[in-house]
Amino acid sequence: MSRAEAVLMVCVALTPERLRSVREEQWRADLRDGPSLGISRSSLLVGALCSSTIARFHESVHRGSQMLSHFTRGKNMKLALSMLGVAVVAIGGTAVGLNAAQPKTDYAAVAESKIVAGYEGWWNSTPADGSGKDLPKETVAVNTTTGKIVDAFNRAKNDAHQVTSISDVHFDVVPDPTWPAKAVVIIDTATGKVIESFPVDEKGRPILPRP
Amino acid sequence: MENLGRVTPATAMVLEALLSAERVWGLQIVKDVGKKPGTVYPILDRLESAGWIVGEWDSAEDRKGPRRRYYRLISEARPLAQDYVNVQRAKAPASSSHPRPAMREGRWA
Repeated sequence: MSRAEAVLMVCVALTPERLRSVREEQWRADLRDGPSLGISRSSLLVGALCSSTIARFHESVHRGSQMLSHFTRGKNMKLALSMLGVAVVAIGGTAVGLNAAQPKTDYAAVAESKIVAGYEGWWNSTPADGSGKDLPKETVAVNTTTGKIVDAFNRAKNDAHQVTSISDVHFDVVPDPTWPAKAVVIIDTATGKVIESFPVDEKGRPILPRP
Repeated sequence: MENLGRVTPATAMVLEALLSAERVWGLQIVKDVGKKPGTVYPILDRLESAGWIVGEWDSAEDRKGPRRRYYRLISEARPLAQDYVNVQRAKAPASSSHPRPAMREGRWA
């Protein structure tokens, strides 16, 4: 069993029974499709872990309050003691599950997932009136240090609430010696011209001018 | 439909993503909001358990394997969601004219 599968199983086990099959199928689909959207599998697993833990907590609180009301009305002492035992087991199981899952999480990958995943600026913005007719239809962002496309934007896809992947845009980068060094250039794919550029650090973060 | 009580900026962002279409794929919301799944998933769970949104399976038959989960804001929730979004927008500072990084999950694609 892979590490991801093991964490997923912990998440499913933590999820309240009525939601288990739904969440498992949803998370499996997300793990399959997430990377194509630039969302790492490790961050999705952490998300599933958060979601299942919170759901389990709420269910435990809900059950606890129901049982407590029975007890306060003097209905059944055995029931109250059973509830206490179940709570101890549930909390212990949750702690063990989390403990087992935590070290398996790929923290390096999680940290890596915080890397800049694109750029936002006037070229891929949408005016308040919703019309982008004077703005580029499609752009690519090229890091001049690597000469590689690091982000892409297609207005038609954006208008259809779809994400543009780099693979969606067919544009051959021809590095130009006039491009600024250690920068990102925004190129309008229709004309091949640089319409914007800005300096970036080694992690790709824009270096903004001091105010 | 239950009262949401306190609505965080992240919740307002999720509501805004849900308002953008009739139904929205859960992962698309994560992408649009630009927050981690660990933030967005619990918000979606909360909205669903409060009766604000309804989860639906992807009906595309050409996609094999597990189905994608889509979310739809119920019609009664839409005006309230828009109110929350408007309040958060009013609180947000004016955006900079400088290019800025989209700090989303994932690496260079």
